[in-house]
Amino acid sequence: MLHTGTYLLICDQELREFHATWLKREKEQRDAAGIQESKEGEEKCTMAAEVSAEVETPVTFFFQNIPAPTIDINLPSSITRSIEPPSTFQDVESSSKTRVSIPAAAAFSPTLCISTLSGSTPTEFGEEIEQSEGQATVHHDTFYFEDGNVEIVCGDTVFRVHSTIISFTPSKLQDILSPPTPLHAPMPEGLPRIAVSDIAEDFAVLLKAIYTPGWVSPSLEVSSAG
Amino acid sequence: MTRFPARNKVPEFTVFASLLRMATKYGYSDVREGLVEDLKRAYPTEWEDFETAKVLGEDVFGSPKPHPNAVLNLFLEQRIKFALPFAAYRAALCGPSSLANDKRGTVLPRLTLASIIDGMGEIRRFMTHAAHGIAYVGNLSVCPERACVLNVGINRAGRRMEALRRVSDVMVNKSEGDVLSSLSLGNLLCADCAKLLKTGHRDCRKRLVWARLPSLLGWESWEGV
Repeated sequence: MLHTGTYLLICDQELREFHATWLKREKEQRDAAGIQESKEGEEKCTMAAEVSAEVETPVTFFFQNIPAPTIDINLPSSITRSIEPPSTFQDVESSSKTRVSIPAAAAFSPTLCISTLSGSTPTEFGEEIEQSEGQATVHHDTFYFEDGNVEIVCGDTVFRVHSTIISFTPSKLQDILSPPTPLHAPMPEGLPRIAVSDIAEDFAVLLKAIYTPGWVSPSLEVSSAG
Repeated sequence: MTRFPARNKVPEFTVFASLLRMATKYGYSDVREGLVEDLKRAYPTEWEDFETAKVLGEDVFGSPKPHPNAVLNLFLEQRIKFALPFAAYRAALCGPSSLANDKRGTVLPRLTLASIIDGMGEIRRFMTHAAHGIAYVGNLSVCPERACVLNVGINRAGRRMEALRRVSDVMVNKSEGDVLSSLSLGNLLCADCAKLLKTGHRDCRKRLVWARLPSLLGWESWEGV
């Protein structure tokens, strides 16, 4: 026979045990995260020590028919003589990589500042549009049309789509693909490439909705009324 | 307007989630509204809708069925407020280990998890009290039918009290339609006792569980949601 009070006590006991288990798991996760952070910190210290011996900063530039970016290297004046700057900026552009060696004794955490054009990109999604050069990319299986006229990059996946079709679906995506944004975008494969911060799987579903009239709702159908 | 005409039903959860995220971000308001509309019957906000719904919770999505935590996370992320209490309840019904699942996509925010645990604790306490009230001191406690397991004559063997205990256990979580079958009491209870049991259980669920669902996520009542 089980009385009401006893039964309630059992229920409370179950809850307390679950609370305790949950709190214990949280603590273990926090501890594990703390250990990992401390290990990372040690690795960073080690790397910093190696860097102080000799700083070799690989700088990669891609030539584009756009206004030249500026490079500012802030170094102590005592070591600026040891660096041979290129005679012109064009020389830097023509080489794929330029290494700047700094003597260990004089290196005081130099900073490299490269101004990009992202700040001048006139778009509502400006903060999401990134330069994606140098990153290994793969073409999406379905939404990479050879006759597309604009490329969209999500992570390492490239979509090649038709800006005209997308323009029939009034949305913020249309704003991104409309001029002047594509005019400022890099063109690694001959077409403007715009990077967005979405997951590729999510973006593929959106494109399927756009390219498959009636799949979702008439609002995404391509129509002359758009 | 027919939605997803290829299957004429809500797509699988991953597609639904992707579409909802993209529709929200890129301003496809019609699409978002349509997707949210699909959820309204499966995540009811009224007791009457809950009683008449054919499909509830994550069962509305196409196969494979998503984990209830993943659905709750999506609703939290996309701020689909009306569906949050029921989604939290569905997640809680799967039990503590499921609620604290740490697989990718199913990890609930800590405050949300704590709130649901506290809320379910309260609901279980209320429901247990009510179940005991019905089973031990209500009309079910004494039955004149000799064939009924709740007849006082059977009490000597302790069988009646065992049946009452099982009634209280099951009533906490099961729907009223499931109560009798879960208890295997269908052929042991007389018709009157079975009816009383189901009615009492339904009232308890409506008053004590349904009314308190919003408290799982910190709201005082459905009006607050």
